[in-house]
Amino acid sequence: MGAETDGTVLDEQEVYRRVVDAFCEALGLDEDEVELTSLVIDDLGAESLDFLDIAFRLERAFGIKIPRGEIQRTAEQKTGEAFEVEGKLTDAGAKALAEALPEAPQDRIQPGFPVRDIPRLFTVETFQSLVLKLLAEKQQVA
Amino acid sequence: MDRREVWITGVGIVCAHGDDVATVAEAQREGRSGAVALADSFDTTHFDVLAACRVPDADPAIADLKADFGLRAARAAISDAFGEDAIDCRPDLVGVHLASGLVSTPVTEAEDELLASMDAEGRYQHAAAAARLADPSPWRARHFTDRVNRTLTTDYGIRGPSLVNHGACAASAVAIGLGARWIERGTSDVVLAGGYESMIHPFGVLSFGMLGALSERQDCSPAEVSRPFDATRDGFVIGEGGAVLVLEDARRARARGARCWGRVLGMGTSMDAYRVTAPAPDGHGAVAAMRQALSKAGLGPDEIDYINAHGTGTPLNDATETAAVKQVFGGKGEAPPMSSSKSALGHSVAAAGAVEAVLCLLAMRDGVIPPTLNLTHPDPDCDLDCVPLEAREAELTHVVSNSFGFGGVNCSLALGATP
Amino acid sequence: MALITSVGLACPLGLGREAALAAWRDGSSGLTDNDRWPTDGFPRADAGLVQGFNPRKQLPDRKAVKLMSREAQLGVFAVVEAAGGTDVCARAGIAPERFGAFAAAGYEVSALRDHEEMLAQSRSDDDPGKLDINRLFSTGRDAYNPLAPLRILPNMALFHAGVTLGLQGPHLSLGSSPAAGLVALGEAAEAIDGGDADAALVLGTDAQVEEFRSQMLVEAGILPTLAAGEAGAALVLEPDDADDDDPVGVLAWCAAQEPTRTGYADPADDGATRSRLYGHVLVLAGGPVDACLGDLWGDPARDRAEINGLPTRAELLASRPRTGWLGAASGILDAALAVEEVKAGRYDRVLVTAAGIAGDLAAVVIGRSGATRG
Repeated sequence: MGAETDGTVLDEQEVYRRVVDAFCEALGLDEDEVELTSLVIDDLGAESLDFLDIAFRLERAFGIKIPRGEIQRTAEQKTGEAFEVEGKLTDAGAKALAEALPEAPQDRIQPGFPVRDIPRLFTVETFQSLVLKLLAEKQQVA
Repeated sequence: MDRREVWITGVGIVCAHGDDVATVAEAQREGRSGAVALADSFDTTHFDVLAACRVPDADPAIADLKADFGLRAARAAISDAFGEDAIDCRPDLVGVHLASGLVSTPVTEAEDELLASMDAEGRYQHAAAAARLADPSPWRARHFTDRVNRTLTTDYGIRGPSLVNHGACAASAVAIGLGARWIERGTSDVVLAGGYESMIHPFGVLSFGMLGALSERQDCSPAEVSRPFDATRDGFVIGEGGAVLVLEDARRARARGARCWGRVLGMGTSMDAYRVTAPAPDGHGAVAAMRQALSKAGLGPDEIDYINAHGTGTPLNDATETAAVKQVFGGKGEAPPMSSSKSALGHSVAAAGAVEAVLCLLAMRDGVIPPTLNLTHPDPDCDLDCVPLEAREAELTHVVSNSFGFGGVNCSLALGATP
Repeated sequence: MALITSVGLACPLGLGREAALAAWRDGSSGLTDNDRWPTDGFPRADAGLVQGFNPRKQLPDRKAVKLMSREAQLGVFAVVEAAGGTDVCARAGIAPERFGAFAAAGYEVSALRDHEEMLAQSRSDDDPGKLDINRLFSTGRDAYNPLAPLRILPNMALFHAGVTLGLQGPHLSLGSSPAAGLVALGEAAEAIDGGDADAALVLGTDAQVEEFRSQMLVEAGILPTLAAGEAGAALVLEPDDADDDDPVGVLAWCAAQEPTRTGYADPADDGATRSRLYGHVLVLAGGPVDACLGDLWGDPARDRAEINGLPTRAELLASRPRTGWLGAASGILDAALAVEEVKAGRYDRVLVTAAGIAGDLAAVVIGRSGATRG
């Protein structure tokens, strides 16, 4: 069921609560196992299929639409064509990705990092930030 | 007791190329695609899938298309084997093993059964559903996946074992392989084995689409969407149909002067024990299935003349399958030619293994390896001889047909030409 | 002969082997009020429910639970119990590719909770009784969990059982029929006897309590004679050189098709097909049995063909009246109960029978390993 977000401004606490709830439901975790800094793959055990489920639950909980591959696309747009070469981040690509993912472990985002491993950098906060951004855009539109 | 030899004495097929063997063989030889626009079936304005491989003469008035394909294929196979619409064998020595997939719900039935029982908010009203229970319901009837077995065993008076196989995309290959074992062991003298499927309806394509399995390519014609082993592949094209083989104890078949289409030499099955929608990256399950099929058949890798690949056209399957084939048969130049029939007929899921077994029999009979269509940009990870674009003449004595399913269930069949 | 070396159960008689076998012995019923959905107007208000089962707490991979239909969840509970844990291959020293899995399982007709919202969001604006296909592919799709299709794929119980135990050997995935469960058991025994596997898991699992399947049981004429039930039942099979001080195994098995009329045994056949099948399996097993356990419903009209078919002078036992219709799980549950009866010394050999809705029949003789040695 979609949450009633229309007309109600959610405080950050409530956004966090619903984000954690989505992760708990999708990954079969208890609340105290999920932290803002948890890496979604390495700490919480998510697999690629789980990302579909997490995105679906967030969309339903906040009445938003999360475009697939949004985070990587944002970084790519910032760097243009030189984002990656043969599946590895360029210098500029690494810089743009670090900016797009300020909450991710920055020391891991180096030139040469495999593009297919980008989801390994996602934390719970990555999703919370995305939700907040999409909620803000939605309110602007409304 | 020695293993009895298993002949295939009858064949029935319903696929995007049609429902008679001669037409199907000709389409294979000419490298034709059976794909049409999915939009011909229903409105796809909001669904990014261009193509489907539909059975051409499917009667839209038939609600239970899937069962219809299964029954048509089975009846055709019986007529082919026995020259009449009856099975010439003691009833308790005839077995049935048919594969069937996910239950299909046409839109009209979802309306009649589900929407009709829901309130304005979409909550299911159990009392409303209970009140309609007295009326017969085609929707409920369709959910018995043994309905085709029941019709066949009733119509033909069959009294041997009757099984429904639910082994996903490998199901009908397993049905054939296990049916052959019944004959080898002496449990049955004749077995109807195969499968049937139709998922080309809105709920069916929606399910596969949401799992990310279907190609979403839009920049070409429907015939060009399915491109197994190509660098630009991005998913499979949904197919439909049915295929049934009549398997028979060879001594009995010889004695009654039956025609032999070919032989089932061995089956190998294995599980990846890995992920639902992805094959194990090292291909260990596929390797084990192929090796076991060869071992059961008593054949070495160098005795296989052709591999009919699972070859769905998903990025992962084709690369993993190539790697697995190399482990069993050697690299480029060593491994036999391999092609994907799904390039022409799409993926008919539970029916695919049986449809492709029939195609293998035709390939051996005609000495023609069917091509992999649309393979114009070879993928370095799929660098075996995949018989691109055009059929090739070759003498084929032994072939392997691969079927690897959702959930990592694998099956390889070793088939032999008419002795 | 393949030995049945362990058993796992999640059934209306009890959750876990010990609880279920204790209830079987003391004669109690597993039927209770069906509290899963409103049964007003439905032909039966009771059902054979598995009580006290919390999948997220009691299954090894709680994350996988969301991918599992109810039968997969019950099945995984049963297979983990039968295997004595998820590390069975390492503990038993069996290579994963030599450990097979043979299953018969139900399939979720429709994950109703997943579909309600999708259908509600797919309604036509002009006529709420109709679906608008463009809405189905947009707003309806957005309201549909992308993983829901994975729960309704029919071979998922086998997949989850295999992946939980890390099994990579031969496999078989059959449908929602009690007879199919016994065929899975028979084929597992063949795989072991034929040297294709060093061990095999056999699973029968089904959840016929779900509303649509209960409706189907009405259509098939099973309800209201029997209640609907749910269960997972698992066995581990090993070759008879296995280290087992009280070896009980599969002495023989056989399957057949009986004439049917609208889902029931054809009265004209009157048990003749069953009689031939059961006679044949006893010949294969090399002699008579002490007891029969299987397709008896406690309804004289329905049981007539079965009783006509069963050997005389054997004691008749039945679980169905106490569990309800368990679909693919019934045959394996009965096989597990037969193992218990033999191990407890009450019988030497038990004939287990099962019949599916489409008239598919199977029979297995379970007994002490020495019984046919010669």
